[in-house]
Amino acid sequence: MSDLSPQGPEPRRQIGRRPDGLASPPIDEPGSDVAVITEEVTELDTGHDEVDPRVDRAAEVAVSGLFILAMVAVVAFVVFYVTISIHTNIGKNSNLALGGSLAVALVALGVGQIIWAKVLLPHKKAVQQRHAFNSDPQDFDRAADTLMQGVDDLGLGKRTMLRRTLIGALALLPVPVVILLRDLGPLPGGSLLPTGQITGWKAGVRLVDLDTKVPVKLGDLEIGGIQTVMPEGFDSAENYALAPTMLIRFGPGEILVPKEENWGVADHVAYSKICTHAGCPISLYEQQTHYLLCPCHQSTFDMARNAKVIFGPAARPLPQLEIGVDSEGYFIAKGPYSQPVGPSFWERR
Amino acid sequence: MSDVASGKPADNDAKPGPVEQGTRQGLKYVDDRLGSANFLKRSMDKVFPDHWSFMLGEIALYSFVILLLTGVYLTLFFHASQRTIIYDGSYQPMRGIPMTDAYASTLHITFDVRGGLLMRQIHHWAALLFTTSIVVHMFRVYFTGAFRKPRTLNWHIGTILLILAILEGFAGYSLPDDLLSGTGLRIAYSVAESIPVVGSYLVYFLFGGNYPGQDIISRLFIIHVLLVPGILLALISAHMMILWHQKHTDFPGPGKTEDTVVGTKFFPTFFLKTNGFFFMVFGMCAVLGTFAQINPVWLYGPYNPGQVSAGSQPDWYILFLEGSLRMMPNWETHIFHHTISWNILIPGVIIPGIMFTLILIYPALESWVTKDRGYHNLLDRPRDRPVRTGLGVMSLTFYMVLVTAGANDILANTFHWSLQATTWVLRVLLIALPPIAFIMTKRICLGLQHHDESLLRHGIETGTVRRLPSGAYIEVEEPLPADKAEVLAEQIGYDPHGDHAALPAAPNGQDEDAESATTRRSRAAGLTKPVGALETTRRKLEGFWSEERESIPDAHSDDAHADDAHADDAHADDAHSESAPTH
Repeated sequence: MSDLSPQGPEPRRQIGRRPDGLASPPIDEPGSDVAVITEEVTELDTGHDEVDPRVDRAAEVAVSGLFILAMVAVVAFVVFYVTISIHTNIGKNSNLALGGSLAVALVALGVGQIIWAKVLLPHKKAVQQRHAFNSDPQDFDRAADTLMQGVDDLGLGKRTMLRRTLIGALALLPVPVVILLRDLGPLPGGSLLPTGQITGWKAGVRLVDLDTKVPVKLGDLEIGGIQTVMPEGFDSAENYALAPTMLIRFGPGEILVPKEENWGVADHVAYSKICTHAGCPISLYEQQTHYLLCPCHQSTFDMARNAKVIFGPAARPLPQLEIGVDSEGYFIAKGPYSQPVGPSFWERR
Repeated sequence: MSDVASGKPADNDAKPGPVEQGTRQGLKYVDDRLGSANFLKRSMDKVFPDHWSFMLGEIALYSFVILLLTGVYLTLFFHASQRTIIYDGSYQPMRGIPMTDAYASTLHITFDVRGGLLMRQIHHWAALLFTTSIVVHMFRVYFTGAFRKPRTLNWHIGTILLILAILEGFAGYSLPDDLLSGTGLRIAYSVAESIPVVGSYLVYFLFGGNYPGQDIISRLFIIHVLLVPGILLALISAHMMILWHQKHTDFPGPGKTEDTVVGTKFFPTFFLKTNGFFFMVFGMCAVLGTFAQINPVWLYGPYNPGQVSAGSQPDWYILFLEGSLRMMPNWETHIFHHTISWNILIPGVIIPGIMFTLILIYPALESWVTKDRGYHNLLDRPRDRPVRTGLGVMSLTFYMVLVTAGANDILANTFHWSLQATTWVLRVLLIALPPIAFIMTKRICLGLQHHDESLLRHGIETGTVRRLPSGAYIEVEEPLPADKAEVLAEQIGYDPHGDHAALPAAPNGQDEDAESATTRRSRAAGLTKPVGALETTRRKLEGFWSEERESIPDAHSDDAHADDAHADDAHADDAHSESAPTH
């Protein structure tokens, strides 16, 4: 076994390495009864074999008892499956009964086998020789020669034209695979930047409540209030994933940025609800400070200062939606968002 | 059994019983067609060493089997479709609410299929157990040096298994399309989208358009139930076959050598134990699935891009990514009409990329630094490799801070801390704690080596105090048993018959007697041409790696020490710095 590390110098410390040339006896325990089973494995009778007959009997009974318990539990499982309705107590009873009986069956089977192994099986220590992983140098050379002979026969070294055309053909073959993936989805290109199309907001569209789909009227919202709105006519929120917008009502004079005030109407302003960091819908609004906090990664925006980022990983303020009021007193968008909503991406300017 | 080799026992001459007859016939049937008797014999004789930490990989294997079993059952009822339907199942609070078919079928499994909730919960718990046991198993392999040659291939396979397990888990819990999983998908979309140049194309192709699209659930489904499990199955098989072929590592101990495995044979002992263990693992998952509610999607509601619940935490194995996203400062670059979102790219792509790359290449890195290309079948104790252990604890600390940061809102809320202060403290800890952890771990390792060295020098404290004829009192110290002492001395690199103090002097290359490989190499290198910058760096790193503990100071000065070294008795006495000579 001295050829275990043919390459490289010996490691600095080798734990348990026997001196070279010394065939290693399995274990030098005095009086151990070594029996060779194969050329590799030897088993040692370490003298723990004689189990007290009473212990042996008790263990056998215990293990059998556990196996019987497993059987009983399986029968119980079937009975519970048939008798306990899943519709009572929103299925909790059924879950407890089925899961409990299944667990008992499995654990009983497991514990039984482990007791069997630990108590009833002979406690024999076995020793097996390890083999070196690398091949005999001659065998290795023969393999390498065969490989090289094959490579030579193929003529990959000499027949350069053959080699190059083969490489060319193999290199081109993945092209169909890539091409076939093309129709996985549309190209992003144009749809990313002019965001009006994908948010659903355009001039004159009314602001409706996300849940009730009822248009929001001037005066519906109290001072300090906040409401999630969508463009009127949206069918399901999933199709308008970038549309969710927050309508916020400030107290008089609380808005600190003129541009923000100009884009709103009567102390009401509207902002995209989709975080500019990772796209979570921002939902935690603090009335006193006018701070808006994203529950996902805690980006915080100061809504009185045009949604300026004051904390967290978001890099850009939330885009504002310019709103007005139509002749019937309902809030309307004055146009699409002027910039892409949601997280940043490469094509964003 | 011990007399199997010395000839069949006498009672075997009697007619074989029905069990033996049947077994032999079955074996013969297979052997006539495949000639597998020798293979079977070798396999049954395979020796497995015994240590509790060797069960960690088994837990991973068995939780994978449980995942396959419960997962197949769940596919019988789950509809991987984002078609919007109106729920009319038996769960009252959701009746009449529009939702995707995926979510509705999850509710159906939960409330209308008997045992469906149980299977869902066992599946989820087994997934957590799968990832957890892989990670803990990996720590065992790392800290004991089991990844070294010849087992480097299995380390690489294991690392890929870990990455796949995380992806598989994420794909799995995204399938129900509830509010929590949808939020996770939304973040995953943003992370992929942040990749420069190709990000937008990537997500458009993956999701079939802008978020959320109509395709992601059905695509994730096939990834979750076929693609990734297929690769996992293939790699787990390879992992096991390599393990089987290379034989298990073992901890050093009396009678253990590099050239042997000591333990129990595969059949019947190990077979029965591991079988029982499988049922125990399954049983534990069943207990958890029965009594510990997990991922109650019916409470979250269907996914809606306009809603989110506060305190949204993913499964634990994604938490480090969540934490890394939360810790990141808001950097973003606008250049040539393009945007690079460092605030997502770094925590979401670059940091995990670096982490897994480091894990993948660590064995090569270590053997490059130490020039250790030898085979290793016996394991290291963590304390005997202070730098490796230090690096491991350092990485673990970094990881744990990220995991903690993934729950910073819960922390702040629970302890009424300011959220911003919590985040800032965690940011500082993320940078400061890992180096501290490294230094502390290294010192602790060296301290433990000191302890072992003093055990070798002084023996075990018996607690018996003896009065000497001179009137002095000494504590009787019992030397370690010779076989244990030998193993321990090799582990900590202590030479009881020589002068240990000479060892630390070795790296300067002057000491001809020192057996250090460093010395020999630097001497050899001195004869050749000057070394390059890379090799210089490597040597510095190797010096750092192999830095030894300082030997316990003896009572005598260094000058006197050299003389003492040759006289064993005197040396042993000198070590008793506090007690009077006993001879």
